[in-house]
Amino acid sequence: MTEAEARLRAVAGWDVPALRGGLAILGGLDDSFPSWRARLDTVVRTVVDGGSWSGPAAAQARELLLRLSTTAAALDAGLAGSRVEFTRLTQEAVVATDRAATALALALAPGLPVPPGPALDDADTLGAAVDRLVLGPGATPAAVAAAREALAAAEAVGSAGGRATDALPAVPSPGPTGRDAAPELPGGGGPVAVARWWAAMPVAEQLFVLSTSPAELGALDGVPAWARDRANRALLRRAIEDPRADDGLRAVARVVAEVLADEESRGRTAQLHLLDLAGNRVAVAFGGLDAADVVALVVPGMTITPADDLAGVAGDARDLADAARRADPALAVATVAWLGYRAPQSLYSATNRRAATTGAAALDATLTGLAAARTAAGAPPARTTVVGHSYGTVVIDEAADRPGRLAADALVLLGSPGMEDDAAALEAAEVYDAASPADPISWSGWFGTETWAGRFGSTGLPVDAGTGHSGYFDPDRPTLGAMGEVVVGLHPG
Amino acid sequence: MAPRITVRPDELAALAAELDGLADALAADGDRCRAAAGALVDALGGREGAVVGGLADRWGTLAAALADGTGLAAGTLRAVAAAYRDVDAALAGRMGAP
Repeated sequence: MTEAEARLRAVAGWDVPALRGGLAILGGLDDSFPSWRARLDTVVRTVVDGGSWSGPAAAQARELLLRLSTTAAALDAGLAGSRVEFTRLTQEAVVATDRAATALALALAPGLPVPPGPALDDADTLGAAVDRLVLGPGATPAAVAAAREALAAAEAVGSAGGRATDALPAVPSPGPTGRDAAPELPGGGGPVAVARWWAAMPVAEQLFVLSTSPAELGALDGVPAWARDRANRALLRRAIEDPRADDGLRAVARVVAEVLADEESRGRTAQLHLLDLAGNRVAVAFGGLDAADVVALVVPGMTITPADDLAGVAGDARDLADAARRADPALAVATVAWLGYRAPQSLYSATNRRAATTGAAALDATLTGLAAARTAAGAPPARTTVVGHSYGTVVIDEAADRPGRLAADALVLLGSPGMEDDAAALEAAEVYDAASPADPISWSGWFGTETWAGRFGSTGLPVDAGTGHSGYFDPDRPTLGAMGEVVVGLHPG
Repeated sequence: MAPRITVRPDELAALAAELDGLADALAADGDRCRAAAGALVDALGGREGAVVGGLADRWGTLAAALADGTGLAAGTLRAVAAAYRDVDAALAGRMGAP
């Protein structure tokens, strides 16, 4: 047997299922590692924050933990890169095994015509070795081609294996806690790219960026909620304490601070998800968005401003969270008072879609960012409900029209002035509406089909005669409890 | 000015427990990778088998190293929590019962 034939026989005998099985174990580690890292980084951040432990010894422990986070980030990137290569390796192994078996079958089959004699350009090449093999009795040109493909694929297997190893970092040893250069903010790419950028950084780099670029990070969709909260609270403190700050903006900042303090005084988590004082936009979460099982955003309607209405919308969001917890006490709930768009301030501006179109882009990015941040950290996205009231339903309507699917499982339309198309066009699996008989806005049809009309196709939530246009969140009326069931996924839709 | 020293031993112990759990989980994953190395060597045989088996072993080694570091950090936090408790108990004992 020639060397080339022996090689072909060896490759034809590769156990590809066993190869797949073994590499699947490595893939399992790569799959679980992002969530492992997220848990580690949570511990690291807790120690670095100093609430549990401070002093000279704590400072040394912080360095140890930050190095651990940096090592984990490098390993995360290395595992992902290595996996890309060993996935290619598997594909090449499949080709190599198949073609080697084919070549041997063709070359060794009895009764085939004697092959033409291909010229050998170089007796030392692998191709020449193959040709020498197939020049034997029973060989055919097809066997030559198959053998060459098999041997090329086998070479590719070895190369991919080498690259898969090279992609891995060195075995961890004590070293610096971060890169020498400051990490750059992502220049674009949307919330999914932002989430990947953020998740790739170790805690030391994340904290560095937070300290140097709070204004950018606080509004950057795809950054996890804990980090946005930290950035926005730094901005909030600055707005309140800076004597050069605008008085009007400082007044809004104080309103925001009171809402946060009010929630935290009850021993609950609040997160400042957006603080754009100049743009008159704020979003406050009640509950931890990064770990919640279910999330609901409350999108209010016309004339709403953070200065005058944040406390009211926050109350609605809190009441909705309470209703959801009553519906399923086992779930972790977070709701958001999302004043993330500039609501129309006059009847004239509320009768066109301009504010809704602008707000839709922000809402779409917010929802995508919430899901992407969790996915990048190895956690599944939360069940997400968007509750729009009045003009807020028009914002939802426009958000669904944007490219890509709306990252929401359920939509609730309260007192809507009409929707452009039907419920199916809103891209969410579940669409609910509530329209009180005493709510003139829900009868107006200003923006399209009334949501209570059968042809719209939503599931009606209970209302009573006294609900009017502004009573959907009243705790003593029926709609709020039904919305709580929707948020936790227990309302029949 | 002397640095401010604060410590909450219970919180540190809880963080240590979380790190312990992480270390155990990652060490188990690393063991699985290293255990797969032999099967991978056999699956391809020859030079390619050695490469892919070495790859699995390297994954396992890296996971084990990080697990070791995580376990070390857990031990540090646990020891700190115990040490602060011991110091406080010793001081309390020296001052006598209230």
